[in-house]
Amino acid sequence: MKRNLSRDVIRSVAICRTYESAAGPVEALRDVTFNVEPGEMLALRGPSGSGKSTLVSILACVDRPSSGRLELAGQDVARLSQRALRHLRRRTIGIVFQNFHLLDALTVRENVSLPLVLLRRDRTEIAERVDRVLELVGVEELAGRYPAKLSGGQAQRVAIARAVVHQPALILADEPTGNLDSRTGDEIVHLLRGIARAGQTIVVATHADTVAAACDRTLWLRDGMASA
Amino acid sequence: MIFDALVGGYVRRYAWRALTSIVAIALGVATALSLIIANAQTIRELGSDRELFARGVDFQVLPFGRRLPQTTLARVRYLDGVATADPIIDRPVTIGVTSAGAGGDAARLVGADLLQPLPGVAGYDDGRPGPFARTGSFIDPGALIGTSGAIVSSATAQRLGLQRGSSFNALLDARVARLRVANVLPASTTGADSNVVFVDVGTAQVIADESGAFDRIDVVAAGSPEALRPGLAAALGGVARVVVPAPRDDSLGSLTTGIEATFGALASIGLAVGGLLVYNAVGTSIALRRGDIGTLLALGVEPASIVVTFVGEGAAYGALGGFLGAALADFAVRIDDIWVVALAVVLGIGVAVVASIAPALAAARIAPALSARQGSFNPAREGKSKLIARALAGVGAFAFGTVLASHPSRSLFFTFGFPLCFAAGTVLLIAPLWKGIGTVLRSLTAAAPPSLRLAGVTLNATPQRIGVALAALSIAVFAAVAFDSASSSFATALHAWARDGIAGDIIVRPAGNGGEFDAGVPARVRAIPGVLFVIATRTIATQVGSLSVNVRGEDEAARPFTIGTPAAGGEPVANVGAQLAAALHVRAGDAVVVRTARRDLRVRVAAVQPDFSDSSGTIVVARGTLRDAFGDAGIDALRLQIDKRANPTRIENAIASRLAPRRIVMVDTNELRSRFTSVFDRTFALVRRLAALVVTIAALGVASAFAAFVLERRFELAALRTIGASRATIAKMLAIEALVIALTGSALGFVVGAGFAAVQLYVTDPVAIGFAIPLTLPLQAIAAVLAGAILISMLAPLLAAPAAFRIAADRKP
Repeated sequence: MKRNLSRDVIRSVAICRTYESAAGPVEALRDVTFNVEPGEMLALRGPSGSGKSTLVSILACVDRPSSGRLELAGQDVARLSQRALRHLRRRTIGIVFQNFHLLDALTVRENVSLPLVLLRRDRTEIAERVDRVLELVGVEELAGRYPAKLSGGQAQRVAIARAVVHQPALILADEPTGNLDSRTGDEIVHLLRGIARAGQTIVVATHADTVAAACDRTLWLRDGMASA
Repeated sequence: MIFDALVGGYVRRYAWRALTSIVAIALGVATALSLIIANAQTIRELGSDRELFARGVDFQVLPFGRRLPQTTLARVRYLDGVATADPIIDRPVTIGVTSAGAGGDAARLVGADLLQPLPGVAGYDDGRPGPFARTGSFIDPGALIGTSGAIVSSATAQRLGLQRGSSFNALLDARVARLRVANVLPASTTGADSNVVFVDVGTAQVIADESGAFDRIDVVAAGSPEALRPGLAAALGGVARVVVPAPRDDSLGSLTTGIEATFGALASIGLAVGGLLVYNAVGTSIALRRGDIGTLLALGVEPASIVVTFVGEGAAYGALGGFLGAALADFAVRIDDIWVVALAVVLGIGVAVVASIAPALAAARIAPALSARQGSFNPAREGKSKLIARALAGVGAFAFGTVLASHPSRSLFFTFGFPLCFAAGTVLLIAPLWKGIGTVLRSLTAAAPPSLRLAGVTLNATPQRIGVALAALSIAVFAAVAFDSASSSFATALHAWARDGIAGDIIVRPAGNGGEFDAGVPARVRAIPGVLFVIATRTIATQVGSLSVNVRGEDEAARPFTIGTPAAGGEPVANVGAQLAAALHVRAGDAVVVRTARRDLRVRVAAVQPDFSDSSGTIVVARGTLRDAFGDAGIDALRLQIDKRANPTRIENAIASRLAPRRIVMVDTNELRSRFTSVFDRTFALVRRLAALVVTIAALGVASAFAAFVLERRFELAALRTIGASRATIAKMLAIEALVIALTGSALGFVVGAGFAAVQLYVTDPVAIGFAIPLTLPLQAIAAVLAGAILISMLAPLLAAPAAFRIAADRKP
């Protein structure tokens, strides 16, 4: 099937990332080329030190490649200023962290609404969307609670809700089940799979076989190089 | 929402830490305000001898000796070229005394012709009677003169609870006079000291028992003053001298200027301590919220929003601290003006915002969270070259501060630059010193206890935040030591002068000041049992060059000490007051020429002595020298030393009886000394209390920062417990760390503070006030400050350890 490359959410062409260290330059990524289509759930796998975290940072527009070309939602990342990158991140990317990273001082509802607040949406829209995604992830009854009162699974569901509430083009999930027991982890994977089936593009960095198995395909990284 | 997420929740959870920051700013503001206001009050209370009518007055006619006879006025007033010639009586007085003459406040009684426009008093020149032209209130001349009417400042009226028509007592030369308030000067009056009581010159003559005499005549020329001067001098015929009025060097004023500069500069350090603690508090807040900040940045929050959030936190601390600071300052010094409160808030916000900017900018540079591993800290390590550079920069800052201290200018740059350079030097030296201590501890052998070795490892890699808290403690201790040392040194010098400069136990003078004792009086008084010796003196006002001075002749034969030894050739010798010696640029061995009505008197300076006695400098000579030069053999005072076992009251009664029916004034010099020193003692006591508070809050800041530091390391501590370290070992380790931090800060602060005081006294004061005051280190007070700082800093392990131990040893970060 011929791919319509212009529709790809991610287009990566020979991206490299080199860091300077006391021992000399370190090539964290070498000629990484891959694409991700809309609605695809891609697993990013590799041993420690393979460049997984570096690639995730680049995809999240937190870091830039040293060379190569990366397009996110049709935008050439290399051409964007820092300010524009942040704007791109706000608008088009949702992130799910291994450690949930919910803000302790905010309620579940407030945590989930954060991306919409940052995008300056009006209150009515924020309320509607937040209610919808809380229901989607199954934590609507926890809306008024603080993160300290949530279980790991509940916290991760809230984090997923926060990641999808603004309907980003791409969701990056970094070891989303890393801090969860296997049963809860399966529930989270099932939730992510459901979101992907609804048309959401998801890239999951993971060590877990069960998570990779739920994805449409896997991109392997070893010593900074990628293979499908 | 971002503010609430990052700050609100943190403040709710760590309310006591936020409170520490607020109190830190409050104390800094309170210290600064109290010192500024106390300085102003002190100077007002001392009643510095300003030339009230100097502005607009072309000449002053002053006597050789003590008083101008009334006939002098006639010589001057009708001279061609003289527009006005106003007789003035100007005396120190105590107002608000009881009918027995007890209590009261020091003031000046100025007798002038209040029915004429007062030259040089701003705002009262439209020709209407008296100083009330602007207010539109007339004075009834009958009330002013007939009922001993007085015009007082609004500050005096408020202090004594006076209003128009009220009466109050004034003590002058042991006589209590009853005065009536004819009117109150508006608060906006310029050109008038708030501690001056104006009366009509006739009233002043009656009160002072000076009928037929004045202290001086103020002359305004109709045309060119230079054209008038020769004619004026000729008209006076040598019975008086003509001077151009200039602000006279006031030894008290210079001394308080020196104190004021020191305290003003130290007030800036109080604010700096508060600012450093806010820096620390905001930095701690950021450190504990590092994960949240990274999350928000990952979600796309603009870094500028992070900066604004934390600067806003600092500003909130500053505003609350400013309010609280004004309230605290009001306990120490009365604050009457709402604008002072507004200033306090602005000051608090300003200091806190400046202190918050650096940590807020650092927060904005935190990497957005992606795969966060929360719980570990990355110690900031500086290379050797950077540490050496810091050390050199620190030494350079001290050197530059010393250069600023030696500059004669008292502008804000030099006044505040000096202590701030010392503060900066202290901060710069922290890291190299810290590194040295850590290296020493780290090199401990295996024989050392595990807690000590673990502490050494940690101290070697301590985050910058502990360094900031340490700097705050060092600077606070430095400020306290400098405060205590400078104020003790000033107090010691003042008390020594009061003890030695106001010689004798009792001073006896003829009442009315115009009189003198005959030659037989000293012997009659000396014969009273209990009187050890009597010094007869005579004081004459004259000039040396253009400076007004007092020449005091003392009866050398009766003194237990001599005024130096006569120079070869029999040239008379004199002791010269230090302030005057500095103004004349003379020292022991130099010659000084004193003007007299007959011929100039040349004396050789035998010694220079501290002297804060009055506005003029004092030259002390033998009474015989004074007699020969001025033709004046009179005695206008006796200074008595009495047996310690004798009853002073009995002796005073015996003196009065022996000299009856002559009216005399007797002054117990102990009372005089304590009245003089009490003003300074009050200010010094206030300063000491404030310094102790500053040190306390800085120490609490160290404790707070250390507690946060321990909480940040809780997972490392848990790991230590996992590999076998007991709770006791860890608790000891934390205690050792806190002790080393507290000792380092206190020791550094002590050394810098003592150095600062030494520079202030030996470098700044000779330039500012003409002579150095010996350094006195109040070791007991300093030891108390250091002990307090160390003990409070040791609170940190007590506060933090239980929370740190609650983390399970095997819990993942």
